[in-house]
Amino acid sequence: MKKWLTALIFALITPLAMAATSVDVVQPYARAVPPGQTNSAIFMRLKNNSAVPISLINAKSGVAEAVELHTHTMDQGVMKMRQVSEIKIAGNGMTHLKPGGYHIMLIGLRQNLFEGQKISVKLYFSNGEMSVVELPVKKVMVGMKKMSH
Amino acid sequence: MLNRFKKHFFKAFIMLLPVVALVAGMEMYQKYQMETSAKTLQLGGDFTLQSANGSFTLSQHPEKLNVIYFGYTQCPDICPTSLSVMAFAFKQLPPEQLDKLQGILISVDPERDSLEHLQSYTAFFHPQIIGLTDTPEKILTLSRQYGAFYQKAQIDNSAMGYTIDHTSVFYITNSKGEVLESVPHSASSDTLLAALKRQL
Repeated sequence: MKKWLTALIFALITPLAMAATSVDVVQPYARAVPPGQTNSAIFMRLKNNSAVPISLINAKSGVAEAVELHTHTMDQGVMKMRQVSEIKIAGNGMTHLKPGGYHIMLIGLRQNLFEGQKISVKLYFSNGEMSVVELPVKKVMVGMKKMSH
Repeated sequence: MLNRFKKHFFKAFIMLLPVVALVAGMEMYQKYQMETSAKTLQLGGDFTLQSANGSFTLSQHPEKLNVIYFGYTQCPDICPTSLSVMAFAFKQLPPEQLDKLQGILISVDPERDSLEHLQSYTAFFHPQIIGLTDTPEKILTLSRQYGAFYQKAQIDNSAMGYTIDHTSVFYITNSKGEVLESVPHSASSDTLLAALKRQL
């Protein structure tokens, strides 16, 4: 009887604990940069598990003087990067932060970002939630569509 | 009724004639202009710019096929992506073809990019990419010669201070700097690789 009760309590609590973060951070990584480079960027996918829209509104990390949300737009072949106040994630939707689009920018790096390192970033969301994300530093590879190595 | 329609139609037709003639004339003039400008407008050109190892003149390396890119090292995303694309395309080629290639990053941000940093920055992507720059005036003139565009953009309340809006294009040139082909921005190296194979 007691066992059943414990199981029941766990069954009830577990989903609640998981639901504590409405946004899943999928495959986050920071771009490895050449030594002495002052800026880098963080990319990831943000999956909204709730039905209401949520925005990423701020990010912080110890590896850089400033962390900002940025996006790129292309206007008649000209690439423009601009700071944004939020990155929206639709209800039950997914927003992709990727090269050439939305990214979390690390400005004034306090350390070199070499491939294989791990860094930590805090993400602040519009619903008041905060996630601490550990992410690897990776060399951004291109042309991987055909190659698999 | 029909007569009246005919009359009006004829009137309208007469009134339209000069318009049609004007449009046709403009089209012909435009075509003529394009033909003549295509003959005189050769993008690119030879240049001498500064590198960490001294000055670099394109025409002094007659055996090379050059891949020229205008960018800057503080460019957080577009430039590193493009340089990765270039490096990845280079890595796909056999050594004898790779030998003929010279990748060149021309910094449009000489205020912030030192020659030493340009060197370590480009070497990070591929040993056959070099970083060059010069005075802002010289770089501006050269970029126009190549049809590249850039301008400083202040971002309010950003720690970046300023960023640079710019075109992201690979210019494949011979040693005279004549643009043989230009490859627009892409996150994949396929287009550049295909262009290089055509030109090698």
